[in-house]
Amino acid sequence: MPAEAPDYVPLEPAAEAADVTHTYARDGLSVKALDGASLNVARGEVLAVVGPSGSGKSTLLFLLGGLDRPDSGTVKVAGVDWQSLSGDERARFRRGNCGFVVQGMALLPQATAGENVEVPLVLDDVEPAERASRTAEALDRVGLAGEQAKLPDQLSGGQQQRVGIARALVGRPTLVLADEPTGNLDSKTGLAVTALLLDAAREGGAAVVMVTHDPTVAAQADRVIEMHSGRLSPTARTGPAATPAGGPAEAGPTP
Amino acid sequence: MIIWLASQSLRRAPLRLVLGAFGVAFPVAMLGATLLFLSQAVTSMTQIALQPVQVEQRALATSLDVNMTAVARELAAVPGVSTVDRFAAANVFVHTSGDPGGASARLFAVDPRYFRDHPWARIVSGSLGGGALLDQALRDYSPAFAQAQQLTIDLPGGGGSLTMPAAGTADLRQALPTWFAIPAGDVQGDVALVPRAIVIPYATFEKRLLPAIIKKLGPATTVLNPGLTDLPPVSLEVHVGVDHNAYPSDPGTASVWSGALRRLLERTPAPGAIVVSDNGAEPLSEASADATNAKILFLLLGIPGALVAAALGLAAQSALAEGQRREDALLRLRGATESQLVRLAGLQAVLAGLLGSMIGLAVAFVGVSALEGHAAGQDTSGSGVAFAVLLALAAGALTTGVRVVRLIRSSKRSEVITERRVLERGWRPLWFRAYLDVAAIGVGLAILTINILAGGLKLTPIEAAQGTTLALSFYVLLAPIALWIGIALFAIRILLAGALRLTRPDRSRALPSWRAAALRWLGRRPARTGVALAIGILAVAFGTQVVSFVATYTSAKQSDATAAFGSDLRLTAGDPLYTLPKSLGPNVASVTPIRQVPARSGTDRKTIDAIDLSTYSGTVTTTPQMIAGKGVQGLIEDPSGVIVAQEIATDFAVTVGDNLPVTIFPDDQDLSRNVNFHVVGIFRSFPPSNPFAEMVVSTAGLPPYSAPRPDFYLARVTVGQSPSAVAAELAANPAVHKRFAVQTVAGMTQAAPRSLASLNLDGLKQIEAIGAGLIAALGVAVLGAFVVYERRREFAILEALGATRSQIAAGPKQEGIVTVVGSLVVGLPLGLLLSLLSVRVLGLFFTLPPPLLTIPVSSLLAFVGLMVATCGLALVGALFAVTRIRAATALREP
Repeated sequence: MPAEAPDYVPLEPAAEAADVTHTYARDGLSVKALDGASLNVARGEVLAVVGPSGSGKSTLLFLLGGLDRPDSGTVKVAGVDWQSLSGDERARFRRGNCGFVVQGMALLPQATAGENVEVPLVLDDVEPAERASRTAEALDRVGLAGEQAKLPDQLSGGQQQRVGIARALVGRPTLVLADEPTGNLDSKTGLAVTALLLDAAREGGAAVVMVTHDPTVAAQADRVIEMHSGRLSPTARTGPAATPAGGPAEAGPTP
Repeated sequence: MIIWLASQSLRRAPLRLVLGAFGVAFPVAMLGATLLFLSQAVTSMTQIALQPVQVEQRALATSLDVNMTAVARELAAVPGVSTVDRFAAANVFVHTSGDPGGASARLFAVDPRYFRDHPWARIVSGSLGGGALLDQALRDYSPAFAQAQQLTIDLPGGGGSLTMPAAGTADLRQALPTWFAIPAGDVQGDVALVPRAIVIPYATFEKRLLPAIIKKLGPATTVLNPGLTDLPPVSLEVHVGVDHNAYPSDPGTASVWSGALRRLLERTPAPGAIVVSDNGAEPLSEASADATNAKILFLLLGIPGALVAAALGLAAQSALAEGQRREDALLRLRGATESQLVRLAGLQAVLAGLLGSMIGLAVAFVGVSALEGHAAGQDTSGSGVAFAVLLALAAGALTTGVRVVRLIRSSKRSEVITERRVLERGWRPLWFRAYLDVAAIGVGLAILTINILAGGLKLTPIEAAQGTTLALSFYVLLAPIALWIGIALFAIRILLAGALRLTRPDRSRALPSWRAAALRWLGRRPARTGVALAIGILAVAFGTQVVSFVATYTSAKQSDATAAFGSDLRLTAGDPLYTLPKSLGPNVASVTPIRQVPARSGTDRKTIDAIDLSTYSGTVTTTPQMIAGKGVQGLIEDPSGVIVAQEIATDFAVTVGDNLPVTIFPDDQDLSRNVNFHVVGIFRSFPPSNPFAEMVVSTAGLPPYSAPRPDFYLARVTVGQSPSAVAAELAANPAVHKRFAVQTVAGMTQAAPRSLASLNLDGLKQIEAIGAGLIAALGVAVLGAFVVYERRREFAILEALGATRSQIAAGPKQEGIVTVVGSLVVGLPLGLLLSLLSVRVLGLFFTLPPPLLTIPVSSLLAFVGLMVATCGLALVGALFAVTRIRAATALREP
């Protein structure tokens, strides 16, 4: 009797971290930023990470984006272990799979809004014509179609953050990592920007891991996890019950 | 509290102290090294000026009854005096039993030890103790004198006579500047070429002849007569030797010291008994003027180096501003008041200034010592070194002061983000807003215009204590400095304007490539590159100027030396009787004799070069520089023609076509004749110009009986032969070397280096060129530091966006390349232009017009190579630092 074929193909999670620890030195002291953290994020899922300052949220984000290396444990994005990549391979992989929304001054000050969005595509040697159309499309999606030629200091804080979102998404990443995307914005603008980020990510099928202090922003996520002293703990799903694309995600906090 | 905070701050950020100290150390080192080198060069001028002085002080009896033995004893006790020798001279008539007709001669009386104290007066044979010594001219006068055993010396007109044995021969050719020089009066120092001389012991003179002279002439002497134009009929002297090391090392101070010694010597015996002629006064006065000129020249050449080093220092310190502002913000959060922050910043700056000044001085001493091959300041006066140290420290204090002011101003400024935005986007530094570049160009052009309207570059005669010396209009050298600053900054202004126009955001199209993107962004954010480029252009232009100026200067010096020497080789007979072998071998192409004929025109004694027209032109290696009329051709066309120096034409108001009456051999009754020469040309330089002759005639133009034996011969080597090799070959030829001294140009230059035009600027060139190369490189390093300190977050963002290390480094790399290439493209031609101007200013110091500009290709390549290599290292270091930035850390920073 032939084996029964599954009715769907299980997809790799967008990102997964398994038993990750990370320590760094500050003023001669060793600080454990992550202490055995494990995490899975499904494709299309929006995960908010909350917790007090210094709890390891940003460290987790940088490890997921391959900007830092864990002391132990594994971190994978789209099934690829960051540890298996070195040097420029990591950069190229990040370029193709991760989009970063950086906290605070996130834009290159000397580049226009359009150029800021275009940067990942230029780095990736995308053809100019395609670059132009994708840049215009990305800016249009965040409502800045007419602001392409403006320099960052000619844009408001909200506009700058929207440019940052457009830049994070223009490369059609698997995973969007957002570090306090509303940190410098008033609550109304913050909510609007978050909505924009999540809509755009979902539209592109990207998973989003979002570090935030703002509960109203966290409330928009599919799932919220909390960090304390480098450890993850689950919280109740407070966001809209969206079904992740590609089936249910196997995502959970560390035991 | 503040001191504790400062120590804590230094403990936490020692690199900031080191960089701050470095910012001060660099200008201190540049200025200190220049001044120490200058001090060394000026010091050597005193010794060089005194080298040809045979007798430093000449004490002349005002009355023949002064006891010069007692005077000599008293003068010997004066501090600084190393030798005292009695000396007397008188006109006499000498005859022998075989030649009762006899001959006139100049009698000299000295003690035997005079020849030991003064080796330039030489006994060829016999000894003074045995009787009288005859010079070669008297020996040659007749066979009777050549073989004389006994001589009778008569005072002219009778009144005294002395018979004594002929005891040998003396060579007095080297004694001309002292024994035959007019000892006092308006023409003091002019040499009267009395044809024959006899030397007798002073004791004999004092005992046997002096009483008769006093009886005949009375006790009065003519040394107090300012109108004295000939050798006095009789003079009693004490020749006072002064140890050259006793003179202060600075020529100006030495000149004053020498004058004071002269007055002290005059006051030592009974008042009014002697007058003292200071033979060192004139050369020291000239050396003093040369030293002043050299100081101005060195400073004007060296100051730009110190200025650009100071600018670099300040730029380096401002690279630390980011860290400083962060620390200030932290301290403010913890309750520090503004005045506390200001005092803290001031204390840190002063500490850095002190440390930097010490480091700078140490580097200056080590650098100059390495160049000189001995400890810097070893041969220099304490005051010279102290001056250099104090001025260098003042530069350090000034740099520190400017830094403190900047720190105080920046501590009152707004937030980091605003500050950075101001710096990066709307970069309009003070010089830009104040149009300092345009003003500097205006000043430079105004100086040049005024100079041209005032008659162009010229030497200004100034009256010195004794004689006349020359001062140059050095203010003109300020023009190159003003143009240096102005053009360099103006170039930055143009580049900025072009870059901002080309990269305006509203004109930007899609990014063509990552490299093009980096270049476009550089155009929009030019501040840091602009600073580095300004430093680079200034440094390269300065280095190029110094290197090419020194090359042109050296070339002009070499031309002068060649013109002074006349040809490849010079052969001087050890004895006038010696004749040159008919052939000097296959490596000598031609030989020409040069005769120097003494002459008098009016009351002035002059020297005439008599040249052999058939061989002269084929032998000399440089052609005469004529101002008017004809050169050698004029003498060929007119056998009684004379070519005169420019000063003769001016002093005697003669021009081409005029007659010039001259008395030749004015001090030789037998040969003296009045000759009427026709002026056929006026020369600026006529080789050989050393020893200098004011007039040039053809040997054939002299009365036939009067052509003396050649003073020396010029020889030209065959094409392809090295003069020094041929000189060595001739030195090995017994027929030549036993009778002739063979000299080359280099030998003569080494033997008589004097005046501003003979300064060795190689050391200065090395100091300034190495300094300039390092400044340019450090400008790039400062740019790198700016980039690493200020753009950490930007690089982290790029890394987060997926940029590879090489993509992240592309921007800083381009900024470094733009800085280096821009510095070279603008700095090299600017430096050459400035060098050209500087050479014009100093042109009149040379006998021959200096070349327009000598471009020392190999030196320039070495300089550019040094600059590119050091800049490359600095850039690689900066790029390495950029790639070491950890995004995860940088993105957390506020």
